[in-house]
This record gives sequence, structure tokens and C-alpha cells, in this order.
Amino acid sequence: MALITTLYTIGWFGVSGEECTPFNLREQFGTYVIQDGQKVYSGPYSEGTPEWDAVNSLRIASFSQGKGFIWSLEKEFYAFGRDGTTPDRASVSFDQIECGRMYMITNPKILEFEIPNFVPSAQDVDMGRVLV
Amino acid sequence: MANIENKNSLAWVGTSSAMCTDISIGGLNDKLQITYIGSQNGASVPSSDPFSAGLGLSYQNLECGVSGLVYSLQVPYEIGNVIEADYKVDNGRIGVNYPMQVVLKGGEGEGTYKITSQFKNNKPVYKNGEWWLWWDGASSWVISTPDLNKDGKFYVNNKPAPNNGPYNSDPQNFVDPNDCIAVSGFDGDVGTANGSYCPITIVNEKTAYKHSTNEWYIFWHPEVPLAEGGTVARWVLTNSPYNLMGEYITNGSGEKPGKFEGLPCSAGFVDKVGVVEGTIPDGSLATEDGSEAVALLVEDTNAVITVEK
Repeated sequence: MALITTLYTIGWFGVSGEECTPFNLREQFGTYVIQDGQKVYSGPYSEGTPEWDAVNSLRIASFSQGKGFIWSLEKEFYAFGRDGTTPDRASVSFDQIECGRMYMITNPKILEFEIPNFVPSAQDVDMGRVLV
Repeated sequence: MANIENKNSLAWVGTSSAMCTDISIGGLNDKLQITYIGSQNGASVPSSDPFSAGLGLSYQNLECGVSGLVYSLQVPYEIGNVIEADYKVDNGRIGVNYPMQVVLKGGEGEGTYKITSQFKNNKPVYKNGEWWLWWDGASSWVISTPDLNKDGKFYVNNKPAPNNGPYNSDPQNFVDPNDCIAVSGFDGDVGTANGSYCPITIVNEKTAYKHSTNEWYIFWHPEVPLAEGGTVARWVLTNSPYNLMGEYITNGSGEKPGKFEGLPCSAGFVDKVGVVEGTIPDGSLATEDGSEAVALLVEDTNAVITVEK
């Protein structure tokens, strides 16, 4: 497990010898649902708090076949059809961190949170080898 | 050699499939456009490209065990021992070079230190509430509070691995478990393989160990090729994790590494012998039985064990 404590983190999800299960971003940080015809935040943070502000600024990026994709609460906010109330998640490329993939996390307000099995990396630090 | 297949990707340098050597960014002219690697304090993502690296204005190499963003001019191209990640594909697990957490018991600052996304002095930083665990850049791992420095309270282990105690608080903080082992007996060019090895990860379902200098590893290999044909499962001591492409020597098939000698081995280890000893666990009572030093290992539930050191 890794504690994310920094503005930028680049790393690999999945440590050899440890059980690896996907890290669900919607459960961890929240999403948007329709309640009484209104789009409202649903998640573990309270809107308007510093922690919610921090979650709202969080960006998690990954790549596939040369294209970059991002998860954020903003993506969750817009995961609805043209009427604004019918769920349509086509615009959300991914909403969980999965084993054997790499991610870049941008955390402008330094929300401290834990991702089990995430291996962070940095310049001049040998953090290990991918077992293939 | 591996290919960079996509113009934009996240990639990790170093797999178990081959010996890893750092990749010169300056040598990737006309291929690599720019690369971004996280800084150790996590406050920035410095970039480098072949031109600026060639001028010495930015970092020179993609180093083993580092990952980053890679933007390429034209693909595909061969780059070295690099694996591109793809969020639609499971590309494996990391055999980590440092424990993901360290548990200390017995003294001030005890608790579970979890690895963070922060680094200091080229090694990871761990956190346990208001306490930090970090390498001082010289000779010791340090637990400190409230900050990542020695300005407040701090205790040291005076060892090159974070999971090799005790830390010198009063009472002392012991590493739980302290499963470091010691290797001795090698001489000549491979004499550097002697010394302390501490657990870092699980490879092939058994504990893998790293030497205090980061130059040597011990891991379980289920299929070491034999000269006469076929394979055998063996513990391997090597300078190339986790393969047989560097210098290596093997030993038995027990639960823990034993005596490294004989074949199969690489040329550098022919006629060399290395013996593995368990380190006396933190908190053991050292005593003397008349001829040899003895350590009494006191189990806290139902067994008392005595071992010749």
C-alpha cells in the first residue's frame, strides 16, 4: 500500500506476492447521482469542506494505445446524457485503478490517501522490476 | 530489447526478462521527443529530451526502476528493457526494491510505517501518523517527528535497510519481523556478495532479499536450467534481479536460502562458496556457552529456542 502525500505521483499498481484487487475511484472519492431531479455529489466527503475541495482537484491519468485518459470528479459530474439526468458513462474512460497498469496522479491540494498495492516511483530511485 | 509502440505512454524501466541497464536519453535522438519523471519530493515532474540531455541541461538517463511519461517522435523503436503500460492490459506485478511497509514495536514512534509517494536521498519515505521513516543519505534510516529531518525527535538504526532494527529509542524499537539474513564466505570479485540481505518482496511465491549495497539479490527461481538438460528449482543469488543473466550462484530448495556452492552458477561464481546465516532477531539475549557465542531466541507464546551463532 502507498500513501499518496505529494502533488505528483507516477507509479505502477500491483505488487508481487500481494493480493491485487481494483481500487474503485467512485467508492473512494465519490460520484454524482440524481436526487429529486437534481445532480448531487454522493461520496465519503462533505461538499464545501477542504477535503472535498482536494478531491475535486484530483486528476488520475492513464494511457492506452497512445491516448491519454483522465478520471476526476468533474468527469463524474458530466457522466450524464444531454438531459443532464440520465446516466451516460461513455465519457468516463475508467473509474478504477487496475492491476498491472500505470497511473499518474495530480493532487494539487495534497489530499493524503492510501492506494493498496500502488508502487510510486521517482527520479534516481530504483523501485524494482516488472515481473514478466 | 523492447519496443516503444505508442507515441504517448507511461512506461517502467526494468523487467525481470533481462538484465537492466540505464538508457541514455541523448542516444535516443530522432526517437524520443520528451520524457517526464517525478521528482523525489513530488512537487514537480522534471522533463528531459535528447538535445537538453546531450547538453547536460537535464537528466541523462532513464534509470532502472524508474517510471515516467514518454512522448516519442516516431514509433515503434527499440529502447531497452522498458515496458509500456496500457490501462486496458494487465502487464504484471512489481518485484519491489523496498518493503512496502515497516512495522516497529517497543519504543516511541512504534507502529506501521507505510510507503509514501515521497522520496528522500534516493530512497522511499514511509509514514506512521506524525512519524516519518527515511534514509539520511549517509549511514542510517531515521524515524523522526514532526518533520522529515533531525530537528525534532529522531531515532536511528545505523543500518542500510529500513527493516533491519533495532532503532535506538529507549526502550528500543524492534522491527517486526526482522528476517534479514547474512551471507559470508565469498571471495575475489564476488566478495561484494557477502553481507546483510533484508526481505523486500515476494518473487515466485517466496521471499526475495536485497543486499545492503543494492548490488545483489537472493530470490527463488522455479526453473534454473541444468547443463545436462532439464531444470531445477533453486534459490539464486544474483546481481541481475530476477533472472539468470548476470553473475549468479544457486543453492538448495528449502524454505530459506542455505549454502550457495557448485552448479548451476555463472563463471564468476565457479568454485565459490557462500554461507547463509539468520540474523539474531532484535530483542534476543546474546550469551556464551563456553566456546561459541549463543543467542537465546525467546518466543512469546509457547517455545524457547536456542541457536548457536
